[in-house]
Amino acid sequence: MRSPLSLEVPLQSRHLSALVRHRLAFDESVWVRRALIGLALSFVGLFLVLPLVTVFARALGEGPARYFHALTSREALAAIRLTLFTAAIVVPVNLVVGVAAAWLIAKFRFPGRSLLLTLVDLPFSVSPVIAGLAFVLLLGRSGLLGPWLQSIDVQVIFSTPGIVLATLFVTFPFVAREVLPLMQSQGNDQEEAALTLGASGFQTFFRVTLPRVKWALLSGVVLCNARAMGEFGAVSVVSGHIRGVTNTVPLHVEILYNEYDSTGAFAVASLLTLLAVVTLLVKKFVEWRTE
Amino acid sequence: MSVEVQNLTRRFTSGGTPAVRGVSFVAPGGAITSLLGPSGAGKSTLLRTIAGLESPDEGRVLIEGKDCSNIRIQERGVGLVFQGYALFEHMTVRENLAFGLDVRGHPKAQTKARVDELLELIQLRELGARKPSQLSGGQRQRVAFARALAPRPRVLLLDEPFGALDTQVRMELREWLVRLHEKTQLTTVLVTHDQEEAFEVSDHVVVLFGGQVAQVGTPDETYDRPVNRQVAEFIGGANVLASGTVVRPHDVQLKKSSESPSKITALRRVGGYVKLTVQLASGERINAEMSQTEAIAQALSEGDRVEVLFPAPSANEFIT
Amino acid sequence: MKKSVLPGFGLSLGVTGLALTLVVLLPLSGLLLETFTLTWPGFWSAVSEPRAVASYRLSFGAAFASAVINGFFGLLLAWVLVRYRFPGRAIVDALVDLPFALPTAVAGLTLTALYAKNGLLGQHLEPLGIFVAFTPVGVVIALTFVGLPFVVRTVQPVLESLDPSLEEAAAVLGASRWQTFRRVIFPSLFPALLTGITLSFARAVGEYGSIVFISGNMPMRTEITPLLIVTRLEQYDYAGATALAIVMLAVSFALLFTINVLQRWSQPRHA
Repeated sequence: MRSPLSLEVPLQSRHLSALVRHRLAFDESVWVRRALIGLALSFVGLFLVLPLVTVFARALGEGPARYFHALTSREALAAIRLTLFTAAIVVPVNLVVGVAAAWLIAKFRFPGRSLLLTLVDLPFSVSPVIAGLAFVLLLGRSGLLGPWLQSIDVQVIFSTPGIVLATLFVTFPFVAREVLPLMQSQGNDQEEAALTLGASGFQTFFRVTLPRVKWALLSGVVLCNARAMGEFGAVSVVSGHIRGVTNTVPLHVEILYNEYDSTGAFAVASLLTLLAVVTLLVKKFVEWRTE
Repeated sequence: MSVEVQNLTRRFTSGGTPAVRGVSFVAPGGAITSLLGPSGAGKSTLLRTIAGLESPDEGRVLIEGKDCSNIRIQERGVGLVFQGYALFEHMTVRENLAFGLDVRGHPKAQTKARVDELLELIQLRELGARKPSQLSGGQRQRVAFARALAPRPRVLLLDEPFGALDTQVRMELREWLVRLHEKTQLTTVLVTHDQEEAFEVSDHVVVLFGGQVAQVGTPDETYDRPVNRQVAEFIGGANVLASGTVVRPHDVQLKKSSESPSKITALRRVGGYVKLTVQLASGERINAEMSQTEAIAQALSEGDRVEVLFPAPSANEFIT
Repeated sequence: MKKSVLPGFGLSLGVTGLALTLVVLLPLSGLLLETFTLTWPGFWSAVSEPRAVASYRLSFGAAFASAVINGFFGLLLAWVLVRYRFPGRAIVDALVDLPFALPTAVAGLTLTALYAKNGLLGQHLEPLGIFVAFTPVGVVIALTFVGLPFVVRTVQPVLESLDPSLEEAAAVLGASRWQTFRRVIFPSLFPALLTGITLSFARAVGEYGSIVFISGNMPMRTEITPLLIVTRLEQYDYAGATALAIVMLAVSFALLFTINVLQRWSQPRHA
């Protein structure tokens, strides 16, 4: 008869610590593992995959002709133009500001530094509706600067500048958020090396710092862009919903939905969904590149 | 091309304890000077101040007799080899070496020739197209050296340059550094916590403790005539007797003698030699070393009584 | 401040400071200045009227419920993604960020379509007496969607960097797998989990886009506070809108402060 100890024979022939680690890594029984994976996948399927599929299914539900018709209507095209225009201003501005903020916070110690960090992050903590409201209260007809803006004949609220400003606000932290942690973790050694080798400040930044954070920067830019093109709350408050004039793509979705044009709403929504998918792919690509 | 540090003080928090306090020394032109001390002694801070990466709170740095206080870091003409190398990871070896010339706007052909020359010097001609991450530790170290040398600095500063390497590679690179220095005769300041390294490569040693200079001299001077107990113990692990006498373990002579009050309390063989601990009549314990051959000849073992002799030449007293 | 050798302090401070002032601080201070035009009784009646109170109950209640759901499923997802290898893992990992990238209006539109009474899911839930679209349940579902990535993305890195020797030690000392999880792994993850739940809650409290579609926006029943702010604004009741916004801002700042404290707590301290 085999003694119970004979089960442990492999211990003598294998490397002990490797065996323990191997056992630990798979310590939950197969069934527990399968149950956990199954539960997680069901959740993902229900909450993420199903909505994603639904958008395209509903958009194309009445055939491609209807789909393209919805996308090429005069108002849809106007909304697309306005969204592209907004992003074309917001993304470059926030790119420059985000990199400046990250450089400032990562590379220098100064009084008020942590306050500055909090302020840069602040737009993430403020409801977009409140952001929109703040701009209306400041720049609207009866706002603090309203009379002055009227005197120089500039309309901000219920007009494109208001949409751009509100979008700038909600997307403010994106680039800094992605770049800052990386800049901090990289330390200053390579910048210092560049300086001792005779590089100027700009040479150091463009030839040493920037190439090292380029992937994080790309990630920040696509996320900033996705939010800029998809922002609803803040833009909704400042836009005034003037069809064909101050409607962005997300606002156009709402209008179509309220008019019971479900297929049209999904067709336009499918554009934003494609944007989201591309954003995720770029983000995944960046993660893969930096691994 | 001497480097002179005058009365240098550097604080990291205003009002806090300075990392470097009133340090003065001269690193003579064409020589290798080591800044030697335990970690936290302020060696790296001192080196970074010479490079211009830190600005002193008091005192000044002179290179070739010229005050550097207002000279921009880019124009100091120093080459710095960083502790962790700080190679540009996104550039190839060639691009790393060319960087210091490119940013100064040197003509392409000239830069290429210089890079070729440096690759030859560090024996990495074949690896110019590699990224630093594809090199071994020793290779990275040599690239860091070559990069610092590329713009032909007046002074070479080395911050624990061999710290992160295996013993074997460290030995090879030390020899390589000495040969390189013989060729270039470049004024060099080396930071290290390893006294053996300092003694092997340098002509002058500045011993630092707690941000202050403890002793300046040649390696022999600091070894044979340490100015105080701290220096004596840090360099060569000397025995310091209650009387103030400093005795190096290998200078202690032991003779088997059953009448002696001194006794071997521990004996370990370490390769070719033997390390012993001996308890003296006074109760003090001292360390001794002798060759394996001698230990066998005397048939020494733990518990044996021995007569202890301190020969005159290297035993000396200092005022504490 | 110590003089640094790195260049660009003035330039980066200037750019950051200018943008921060114009884009963020100026409008928010406009909001705060507007509050000075309010009288205390006016403020109080605006923030304590039954419709406002009902909106807080829904906004904070639904946000809390969604944050708890995300706490559970977020931890599960992070665990499965870090510890197990299965086909499609990379896709699931990428999909977790979908709510960050998908405009909330699209999320609202789609979830409403799925859960409406003729929708793919709604038609099966209705016979069971479960109504989702245009009810508080729908609000919770939408908020769960938008807050989903936060817990996963805060717990995941902590779980990845967890020292395996801790678990090995526990196992060698005789702990079962469940004991090891409960007494060794979970306490190490807890600060990150709490941070993630708080972030998810904070995001949910301010959410607007997706709720507009799924809630039906019925006063007293399915009206969230941000929507009530918009309603007041459309009625040109700036004072009422501002009063409600101040309440929400106060909550946001309290949450922001909590998150900062939590993050300081969850980061390992260096001597």
